[in-house]
Amino acid sequence: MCIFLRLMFISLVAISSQVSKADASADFLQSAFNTTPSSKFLWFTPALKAQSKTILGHEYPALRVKYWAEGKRRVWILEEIGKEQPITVGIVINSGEVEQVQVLAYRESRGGEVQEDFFTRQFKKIRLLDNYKLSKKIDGITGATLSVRALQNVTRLALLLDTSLNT
Amino acid sequence: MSKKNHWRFFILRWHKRIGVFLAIFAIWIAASGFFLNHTEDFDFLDHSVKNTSIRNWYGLTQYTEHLPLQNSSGYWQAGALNFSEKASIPCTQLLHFYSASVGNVAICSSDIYLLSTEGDIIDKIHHEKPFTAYTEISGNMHLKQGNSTFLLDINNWFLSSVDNLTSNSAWSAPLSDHYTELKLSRVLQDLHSGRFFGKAGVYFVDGLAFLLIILALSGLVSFLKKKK
Repeated sequence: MCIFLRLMFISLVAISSQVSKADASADFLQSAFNTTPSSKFLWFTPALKAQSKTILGHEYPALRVKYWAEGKRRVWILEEIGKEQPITVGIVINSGEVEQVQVLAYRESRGGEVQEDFFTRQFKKIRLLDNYKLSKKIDGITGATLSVRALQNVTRLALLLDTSLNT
Repeated sequence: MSKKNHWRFFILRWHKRIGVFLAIFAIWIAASGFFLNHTEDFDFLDHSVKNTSIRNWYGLTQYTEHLPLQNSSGYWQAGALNFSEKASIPCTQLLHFYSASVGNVAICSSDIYLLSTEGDIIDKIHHEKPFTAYTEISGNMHLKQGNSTFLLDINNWFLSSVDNLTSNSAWSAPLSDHYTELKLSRVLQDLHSGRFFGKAGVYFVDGLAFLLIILALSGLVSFLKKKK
């Protein structure tokens, strides 16, 4: 019964998060900044394209990405496929270090645990190493391997993009 | 004539009349049903209907192999945007395609793409619930989804909800609706069900089904009466 109720709750959370993706992005920006700055675009250069391909295993499906910045604190909203559906993730990076990771829209039928705070708080204070790996090991979740991988990759990509703005 | 025979002849008379009336329709329904049962075996049923009159009857414009996209080498066909030597971009329904200062904008039912002239995706906005119509008000693109309206900000590449749309601009139906492929099997199915002729056609086929029941019962009754 307990498991059933938990599954129902996770399903409801998944459905409601699908419906309110735009609101979730706006709320995330609102929580990251006192006043949301206007958005900027970072275009993928051939070098950045190649680096992102190394991280994701495929090219990012767009020629540019949108970000919001206030000093050295930047917010990135990126998407990456988990198993079949894209996961929308909001990442706050301050001086090359992850401050917050939040799943803004989760569309897969399984693996929704990656949205939980116990998982996303592992990304705090993480940096990107020279070999494009994260500076800290992220514990996985049984049954959510692909979603965990997607979140790790998208965080690595955000850190790469953030670093490219500093150089 | 006895009372018993009077009823028997009455039933037989109507049995014949209904039988003659039903004959032509019964053949048609049986034949179309046979083809519908074997759509996978008959390749010709998978062909597109190119006849202008039939397409117009369905509210579709004249048949074209694909819907060309303005100011670009691409085209929309069968649920995808296609550009030469590029992977197809999924677009189940194309609402609108237009050129803007920042690139070409393709509004599909669930995704809005900003594309280069060569067909590369510059940026994308995904929307969970599909858009059904669009309208342009003072140079701004508005999209409709159910009872909600959204404003597309091209420069900031942002979709925002609009609460009160004051203008009475008419909403335009998806562009691709007119170019949707019409398969012969669909026409056959609509003829079989009577849907081809709208609501009246459906009621007519219902009537035929009712008459078929009467025919079966009258046949059975007259057979039993003759036996006695």
